[in-house]
Amino acid sequence: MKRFIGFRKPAACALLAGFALMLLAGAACTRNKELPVVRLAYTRSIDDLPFFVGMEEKLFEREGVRVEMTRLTGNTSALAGVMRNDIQAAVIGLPQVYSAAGQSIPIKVVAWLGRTHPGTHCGLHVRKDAPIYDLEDLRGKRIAVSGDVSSRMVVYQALEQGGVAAEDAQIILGLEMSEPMQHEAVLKTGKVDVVIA
Amino acid sequence: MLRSFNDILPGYVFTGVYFSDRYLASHAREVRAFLRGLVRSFEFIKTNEAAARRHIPKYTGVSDDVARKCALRDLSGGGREPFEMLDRQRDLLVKHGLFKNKETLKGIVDYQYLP
Repeated sequence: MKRFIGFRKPAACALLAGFALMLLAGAACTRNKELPVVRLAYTRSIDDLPFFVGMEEKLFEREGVRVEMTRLTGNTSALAGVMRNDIQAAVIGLPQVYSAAGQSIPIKVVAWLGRTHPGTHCGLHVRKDAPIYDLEDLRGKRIAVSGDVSSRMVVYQALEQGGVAAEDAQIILGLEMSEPMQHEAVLKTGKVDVVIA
Repeated sequence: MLRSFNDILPGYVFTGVYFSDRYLASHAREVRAFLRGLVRSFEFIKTNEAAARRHIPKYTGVSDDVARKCALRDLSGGGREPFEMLDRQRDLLVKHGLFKNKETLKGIVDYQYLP
């Protein structure tokens, strides 16, 4: 009889422990589902890294909100989504903020996602064997720029700093270079001399 | 690299995150919670850069190697950037013919929800 009771006791404890764990897990799931949801449109840019980290490290949930991310390309799509409340937040470039301000669009930018710094690898890239050593060497060169306004401004500013008029360089728009590896590939083709990446 | 973005435009700000005015008026608590989480992300990236970089491939599709090398932003501003600096960028846009009017950001940028 004693041996029989002894056998049942650990099994009962294990059952109770398992039940308690299930209750705790269920409670956690319920808490998570009860958190208000913020749907955020993102663009796969490196600027969105804080969102990726917030999601993976559960930093938003710790502060009391659940974030659902949706990839959207194009400021117009994102803005339409925010205005309809299909999504609650989106990313916007600084030039587009000024444009929105000029049109009195009812949005507010509530935070910026960082700035360039001296160690950045983003900039004007050339092939290693190219005879382009300084900004003044951009004269007559073919410079591939994605369509966004910021990249174009960087090019114009670089040309000015090199003492090169914009019309003295060949600025090529429209090359799709949204992926980092495409920048290197475009340079290797020899069809352009400089890429902005 | 011939010149970095920072060489040409020191401290250049690329993007921000926004909400509609209507949502802000009725969900200030959610926006504040979201931004507390965002600022924690900034801190995490600054203090755990290698761990932060490991999250890049899942969302961007780039390789681990690219994720290890790509440039990150300076997040020391905690989400806030001085209006004077932002306006300098606007002035460059106008100077280079990429923007027509010198709009002000005072009515469309609001840092009150940041911690």
